[in-house]
Amino acid sequence: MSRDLIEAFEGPGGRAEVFEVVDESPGRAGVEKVEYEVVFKGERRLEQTMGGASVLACELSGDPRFLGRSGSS
Amino acid sequence: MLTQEQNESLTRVGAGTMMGELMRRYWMPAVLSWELAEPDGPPLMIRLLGEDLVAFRQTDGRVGLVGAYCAHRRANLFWGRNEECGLRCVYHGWKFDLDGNCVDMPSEPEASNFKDKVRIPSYPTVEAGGVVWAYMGPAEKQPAPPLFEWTQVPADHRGMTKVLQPCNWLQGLEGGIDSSHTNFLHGGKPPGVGYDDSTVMGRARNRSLAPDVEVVPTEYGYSYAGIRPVGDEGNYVRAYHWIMPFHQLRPAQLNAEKPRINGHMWVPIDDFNTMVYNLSYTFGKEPMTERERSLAGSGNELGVDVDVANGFRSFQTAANDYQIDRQLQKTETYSGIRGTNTQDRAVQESMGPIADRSLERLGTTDRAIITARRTLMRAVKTVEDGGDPPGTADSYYKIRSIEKVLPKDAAWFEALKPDLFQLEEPQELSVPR
Repeated sequence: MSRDLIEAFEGPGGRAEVFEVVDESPGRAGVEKVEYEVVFKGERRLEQTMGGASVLACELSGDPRFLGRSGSS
Repeated sequence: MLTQEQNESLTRVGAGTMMGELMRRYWMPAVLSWELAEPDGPPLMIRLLGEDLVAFRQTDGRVGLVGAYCAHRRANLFWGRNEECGLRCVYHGWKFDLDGNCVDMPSEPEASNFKDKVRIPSYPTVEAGGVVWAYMGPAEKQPAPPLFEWTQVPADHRGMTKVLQPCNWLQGLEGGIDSSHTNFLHGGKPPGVGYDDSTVMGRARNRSLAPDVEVVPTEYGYSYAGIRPVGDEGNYVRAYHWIMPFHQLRPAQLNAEKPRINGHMWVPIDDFNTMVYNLSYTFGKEPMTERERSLAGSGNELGVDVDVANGFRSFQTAANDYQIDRQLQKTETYSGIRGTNTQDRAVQESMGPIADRSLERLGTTDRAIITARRTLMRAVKTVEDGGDPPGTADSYYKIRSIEKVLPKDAAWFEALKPDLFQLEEPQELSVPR
């Protein structure tokens, strides 16, 4: 099992971090199982996709990067 | 997604950069063998990993790859005369052998030993599979020769072309290991129109456009599969290999006359240009036809899709909107662009010279891309720490890409392992329909 910080998002709401959690020994031989953990104010939430985790982290922190507002992407 | 810093580290390939140093630990395609057809023939000017080089086939048939600029006044050796096991600069006659040694200096007094002190960069080469491969890394770290299965089959069992792609190498690689885009970019029926349900791929596409992508790390990179349900008969599993750092192998067996494997190598010319080597081979008994060997229909056919005399540029480029046919796009395909890999190049080049990966929103079908990036970043660290990166041993020599319909509850990697790695006596596969 490995857990790596992918990116930290910061905004008016605070700082939210996205971690990639890789389990290389799940039930089906050899196949990687990957989940994404969003940590915000000590609370952890799991997402199935890196993109979903990044959007959630932006929503929680208020970082405008992925929120699709005018002036952001 | 990647941070800007990570994106830079994975895309920049010049000497001294992190990815550049990793790339220099592998054999890299430099030119196709036929480009240097005859001993003492014309040299070729090439660029590899941001370095300007000249390739030449010397008198004894061996291929030299040396720095492009003469050690004297920096004239380009492309203009040089290829004679008697060396390349002679036409400016003042200095001559260099394939090890980069200056072996003749007629512009200096005969008694001078100046030439013995002069050399230019040179890199070792090997020829395999109709390709001249170069190794640009430390001599003591030279990896096993690049003996992929396709290099070992008879010449009439394989086809090979190349095409210039004016964008960063990683965009090409990531397009190649992205299994899910085939349903869209290379397909795309209009709303309400289904695929041919009599074929496995048609049934798969009619049931789901979102394959389950699974990745199994290996010594050379990984094996991965796109898994698509096809009804009661099970799942259509398309199993690929990614071999570090830029090789992809994919199966072409379900709709083919003979068991074939296709692949690409995305070789960095520099940070903003890539030479894509395209291959197809059969591991069956029958050779490929001339048409099959030309890669017709792929967007990579020399003389038809690719302008050989113009640096292997595609005839369809951003400058002519890849000759997009908007009517075709409305009625038959998503892209409206002719040629499978031309479609790939159009979208990959549209991301810019180096894609900004800090703004991506990656989904479940991007698993292979995510794992490749993670593997590359770890390999960069391994090289920095003095270790050997994945894929420098011979573990990929026997691998094959395979596609099959498996029972729904089958673990694909276990089920396909004997074929993926030729664990049993190699044999011709039956061709399912």
